[in-house]
Amino acid sequence: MKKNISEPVKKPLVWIGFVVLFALINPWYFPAGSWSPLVFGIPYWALIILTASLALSIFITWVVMTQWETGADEDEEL
Amino acid sequence: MEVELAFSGWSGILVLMLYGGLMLAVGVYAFLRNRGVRESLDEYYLGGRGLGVMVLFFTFFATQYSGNTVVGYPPTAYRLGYQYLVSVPFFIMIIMVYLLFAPRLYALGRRFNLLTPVDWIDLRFRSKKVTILAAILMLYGLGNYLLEQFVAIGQGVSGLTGGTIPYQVGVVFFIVIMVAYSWLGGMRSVAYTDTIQGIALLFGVFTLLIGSLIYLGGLPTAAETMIAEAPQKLGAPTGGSLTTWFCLLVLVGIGAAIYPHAFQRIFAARSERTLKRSFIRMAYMPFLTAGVVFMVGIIGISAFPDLTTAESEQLVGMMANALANQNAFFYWAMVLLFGGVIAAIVSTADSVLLTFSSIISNDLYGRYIAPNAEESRKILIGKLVGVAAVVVLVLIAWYPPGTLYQIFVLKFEVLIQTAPALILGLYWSRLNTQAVFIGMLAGTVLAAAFTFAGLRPLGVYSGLWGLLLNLVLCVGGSLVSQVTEAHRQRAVEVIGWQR
Repeated sequence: MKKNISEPVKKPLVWIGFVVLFALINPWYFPAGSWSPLVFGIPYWALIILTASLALSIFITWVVMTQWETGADEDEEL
Repeated sequence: MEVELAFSGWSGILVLMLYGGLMLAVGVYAFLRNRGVRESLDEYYLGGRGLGVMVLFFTFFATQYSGNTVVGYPPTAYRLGYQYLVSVPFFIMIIMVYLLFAPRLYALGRRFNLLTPVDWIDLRFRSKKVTILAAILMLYGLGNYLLEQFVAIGQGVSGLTGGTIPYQVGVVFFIVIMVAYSWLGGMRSVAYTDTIQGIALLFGVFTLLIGSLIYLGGLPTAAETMIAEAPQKLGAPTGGSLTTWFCLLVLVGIGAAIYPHAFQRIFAARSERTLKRSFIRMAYMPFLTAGVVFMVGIIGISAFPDLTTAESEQLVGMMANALANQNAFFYWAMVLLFGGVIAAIVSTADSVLLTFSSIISNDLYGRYIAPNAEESRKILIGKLVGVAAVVVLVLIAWYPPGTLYQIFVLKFEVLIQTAPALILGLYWSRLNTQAVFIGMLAGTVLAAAFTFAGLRPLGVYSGLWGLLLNLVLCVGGSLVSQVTEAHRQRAVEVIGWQR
């Protein structure tokens, strides 16, 4: 029986997303030691890292919801 | 520095007794509801492969976030400042790494009734050498992990009760309870108690944050202190701290996802849908836990300035103490927080113990010693060996050996060496069994040697050097050697599950 199979690991888009977001959650792209401006006492770069982290969480949600379908549950019902 | 807690004494004891009683009651409930739990490995170790979204989510949560997240992370944030913000994304990395293997692993788990990570390795490679080496590495890493949790339980209990309950009594009390409810209900007990423990922990860290914001100053105050005294705590990381950041992301991401007890939980999901929904929730938890405790540590910088490294280790105790002195609400909230911390340590320890026993039951005893034994007997042997291991580890925790202590430190470094076999094996049919074995062994030896010698070339952690060597040998060896057609065919049959 042919099932609709989709695995995140086989999707180039998933890999591109993960690589880009991984690059963004590493703080290599800020001037060394800089912290100004502060927003509510948080250095700007920390906010950018947190935003990138949130973007990764959202991307993960998208990957799980749309790119992962192995039909393992249907096996159960057969 | 010993901190005299305002809430030391009877209220701490009361909360601990309550937690203990509740966990035991959950164990009895799980036992009574599922009488078949002692008869089947699936029932005992995987909760009958029937964990629903909430319970599965909390068991992942409580397994990943230990008491150390609450007690140990704020002091690190206190010392490193924003350089330790990495603790938020590294927990997200774990879920990212899961997505690279969990979908296929779950499907294979269903098809082949896999019970443990070693079970998967055996199915894939059919090699006694590889299976036993992987089992030993996992048991060794898990044992050390358990040891660390036992030490933490003792410290937590004596800290919470201001020394009213001595360290040893605290450890024995909670370990007996933990062993009792795990013994009774297996994975179901562990997962249900994880749910209670997870909620207690979340409640505790949030009240700690709110209290700190109200009474101890907010982030702007902390920032002013840092500008004046330690601007490097505020600045973007450079050089060595960038490397550390990178290493933590990789090491924690891969390491925590393939921790045997984390890996095994994938098999316990009721359905693929359940697993997916648990993962989605887990992807946001770092903000609510690691992010919250990070902020607590940062607030500590202005609230308790100029602590030495040793003093800063007590930071959470000091903050809890300061809050408990404010009013009755925070007093009880802090008592619950510390109860929650201990619960979190216990909930990590129980998962580790259960996985430890499952590897004994299924992979060593059940596979090589008595393959024809009844499942109930395999479970019993796993439980007994687990209890024996607990006794030995408690003795080691109390009487730490003077010289060989370092062999009890290795955890991540060793466990991560099973990653190529576990993950590459899922996708690559040409992966050569011999190369996997040599890579795993060499990676472990290198990681251990670097750790013992205190070597960290280029600032990269020893476990990652081991993993790199492991991967090179594993992939290189597979590329240069020929895998027999029969082997390849078998591998294709196993991992080509989609046909």
